[in-house]
Amino acid sequence: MRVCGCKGVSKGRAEGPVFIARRSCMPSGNGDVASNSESCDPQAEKRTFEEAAKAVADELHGLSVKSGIDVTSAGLFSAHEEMARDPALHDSVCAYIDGKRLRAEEAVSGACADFCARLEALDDPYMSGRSADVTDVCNRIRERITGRGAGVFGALKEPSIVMAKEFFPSDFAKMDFSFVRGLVSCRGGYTSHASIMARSRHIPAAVGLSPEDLDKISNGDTVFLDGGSGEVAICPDETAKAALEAVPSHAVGDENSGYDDGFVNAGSVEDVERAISEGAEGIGLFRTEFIFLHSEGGFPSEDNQVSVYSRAAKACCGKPLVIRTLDIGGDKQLPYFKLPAEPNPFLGMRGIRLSLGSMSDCFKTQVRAIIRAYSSFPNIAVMFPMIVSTKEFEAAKATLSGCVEDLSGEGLEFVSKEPISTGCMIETPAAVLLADELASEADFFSVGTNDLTQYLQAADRGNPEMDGIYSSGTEALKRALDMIFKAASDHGIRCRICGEIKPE
Amino acid sequence: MKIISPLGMHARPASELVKMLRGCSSKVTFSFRGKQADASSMLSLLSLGLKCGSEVDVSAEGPDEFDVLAEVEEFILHMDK
Repeated sequence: MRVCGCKGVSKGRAEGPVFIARRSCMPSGNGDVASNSESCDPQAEKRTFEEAAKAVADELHGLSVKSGIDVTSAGLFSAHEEMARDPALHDSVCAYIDGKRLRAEEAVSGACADFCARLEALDDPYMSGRSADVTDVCNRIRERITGRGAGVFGALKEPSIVMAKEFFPSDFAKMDFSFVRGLVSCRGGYTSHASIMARSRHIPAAVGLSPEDLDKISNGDTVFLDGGSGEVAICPDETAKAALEAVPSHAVGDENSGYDDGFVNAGSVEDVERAISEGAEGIGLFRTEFIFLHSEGGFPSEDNQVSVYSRAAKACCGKPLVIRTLDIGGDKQLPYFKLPAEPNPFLGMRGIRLSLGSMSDCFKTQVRAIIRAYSSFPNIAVMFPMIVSTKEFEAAKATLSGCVEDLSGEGLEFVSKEPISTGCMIETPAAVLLADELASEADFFSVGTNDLTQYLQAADRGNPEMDGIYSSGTEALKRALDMIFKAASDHGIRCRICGEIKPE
Repeated sequence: MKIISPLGMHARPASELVKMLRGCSSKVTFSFRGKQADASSMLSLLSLGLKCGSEVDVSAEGPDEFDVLAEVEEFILHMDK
């Protein structure tokens, strides 16, 4: 037996076999090259690709033979088989792996995009249409590399303690939570996404496992996890287990997410249902990222989003539901919408910056969906993330009012005569300093203390080394909150805290 | 060499050509409107966008280059027939 001292981030105890999510190599925070390209071994990535491409080609060959007299299918599978074996595709993938130090599946995406662009550039609808074949074949290869769409988590088939060097937000779209008894990772902190997810789902979790310890653990080893103390015991014997269980599991952090008015955060309709049934007074932050992360085959449609928002609003039984528009970028990436790599993603394109920039169409669709849901459920409010200026907030509001106008023109009728309540997230130092101006524009404030603390302290909240610096930020945060609350009360608007950190 | 098949060099003949050439020892190159394609790559062949009526230059280099060229010529003539 070995006991590893980790940091508990979601209390509760769990025991079970280990499921280790080992990846071909570590994607960095923004899912692309940049920071930890060192850990990608190009030779290993190329081998991974070659093996996957060969397996796909063989599989397609089999399908082609099986099609027999169905000449059309046989021809199609046979053509796809040739694409999987195509030397030009192989060269291009290898060039991406070598040149940009990409992981195999990312290199396939890059090569695929290049070939599609070339085919689509041809002035011939038939040839342009072949880009769909290339995409299909490349998807097969990618799925083979990552393990059938669900990635490494596809193999998670029994209740386990899931371990990884690091969990990424997209991982949670791929995990079957009924098999997750506990989460343990090397990277991550109290407020990283995995930890927040774990707490909202009452799954015990710990971070800060040393990579050396992780290497020594094998799939199937029995593990005892205490998400309160952070103790992770590998292959505990009965006496040790009894001793561990005898120690009271201590609470970590503030369970009620910092709200003092009975509001909670939610990331899915199920979260909302659970929270309301447990007596929550409302949803202060409804994250919409997970709708987008779970969406297969691209952005969720307007109708699809209307349905999710309406179900969430209905589950609130008339209590407020504050929907935050999409906040990706930073550490959150969509599998089907690759953002360019940035050296400092938390200081780059994320939140409203994308919504007003390259993702403005997607933003408009989301805003339309929120308004349509609001037309039937007036308990919905909307807020915008990552605001740093009144100009940004005004631009977001302009999109909102444009959509209201369009929808009214399309004949949408509203249950309530009141316009939808529109809030501003205060999570950047700039927004704190401009709180007075923003308060005159916004109907309410919502303070995201996790990000605000990160930006005030200049400390990455996913970096365990920063935990001390991050958590020492309460005094600065307190002063920031004083400024924010004063601005809010001067303008007679409501201000709520939706982060997990809350000073006394 | 002129493509006479009404459908041009589409996916099925391209994959057949690639398969056929796998048995040869020469490197076959298609050139069309300044673009070149290695005929062992179906994606490269398709990327040329060869339609019915396109005039394509075919060259082969290797020990069996003459035989291969004749085979390619035969193939293109009877493509889709």
